[in-house]
Amino acid sequence: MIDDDTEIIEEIINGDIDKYEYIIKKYQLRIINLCYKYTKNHSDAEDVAQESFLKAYNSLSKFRFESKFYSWLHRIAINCSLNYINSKEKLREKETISENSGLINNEGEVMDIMARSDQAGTDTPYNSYNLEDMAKTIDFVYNNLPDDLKLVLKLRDIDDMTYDSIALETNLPIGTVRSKLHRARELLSKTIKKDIEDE
Amino acid sequence: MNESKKNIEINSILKAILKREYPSYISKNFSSQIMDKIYKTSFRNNIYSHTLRIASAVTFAVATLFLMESFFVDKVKYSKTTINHEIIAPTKNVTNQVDDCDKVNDNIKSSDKLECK
Repeated sequence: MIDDDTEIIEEIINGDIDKYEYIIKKYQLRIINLCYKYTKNHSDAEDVAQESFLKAYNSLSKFRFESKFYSWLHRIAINCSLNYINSKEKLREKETISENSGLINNEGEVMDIMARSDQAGTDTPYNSYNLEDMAKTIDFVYNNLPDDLKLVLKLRDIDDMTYDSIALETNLPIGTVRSKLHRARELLSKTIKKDIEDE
Repeated sequence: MNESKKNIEINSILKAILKREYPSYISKNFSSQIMDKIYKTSFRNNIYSHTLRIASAVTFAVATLFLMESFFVDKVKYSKTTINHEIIAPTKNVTNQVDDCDKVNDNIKSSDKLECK
């Protein structure tokens, strides 16, 4: 199976640890978002995503290149999220048992856990990127793109089509498809760059 | 930040937003936190493997020395460094003894002749 990440993964396995940061940066948002679906909490989602990336790194030598790297990472993230849910459920069960049997002499401890959990839900804006705001700006720029650029961008980045398929779909040569995609991405990237620098 | 890393980050943000697969917030140092943990682990593993290598080399050297010593060094302790005595080859003195006739006669067959006193 052809995967964009094959080369970079091989380099990491051969000892170029720094390259793993490319992988993290490439998939961090999608993995955090996946974990968020399970954890329903931003801070916990980041923790679980972090654990998933670390687990993937430690098991990288076991990756057989039979599937796409992202599919493998996706599976690891789901497993980590499920483990997180199980551990949280166990904690909740313990709390319920303690409350029901009247054995709460460490009530303060339970309150601490709850407070930490609540606190975890609120992010500190100064060390985080606000993606909701970024998305609003991106949507605005995307909607105002010329139709031909918007179409190519949609087919490639949203529908994950190959360059060949896009060329067939749009009746354009592959070179033109590439250049249109490059222009579209550049216009949107400028917006993101500006947002990142402002934050 | 390295330019290509920044570009990858921007492209990933762009793709995630277009696909509507993004969380509301993300820590600015999310990737560097993971990389720090990876570096720490690999540093610890390196120290461990180096120590293990040195320890195994030392063990091997000691074992080899011990073996060499037991093979090549003579364990017999001599009282003197030189031996002055002449080595005399052991000999056996044999005399040509002839038995008395009355002792021999009992065992003589008629055909045999035996010299005796």
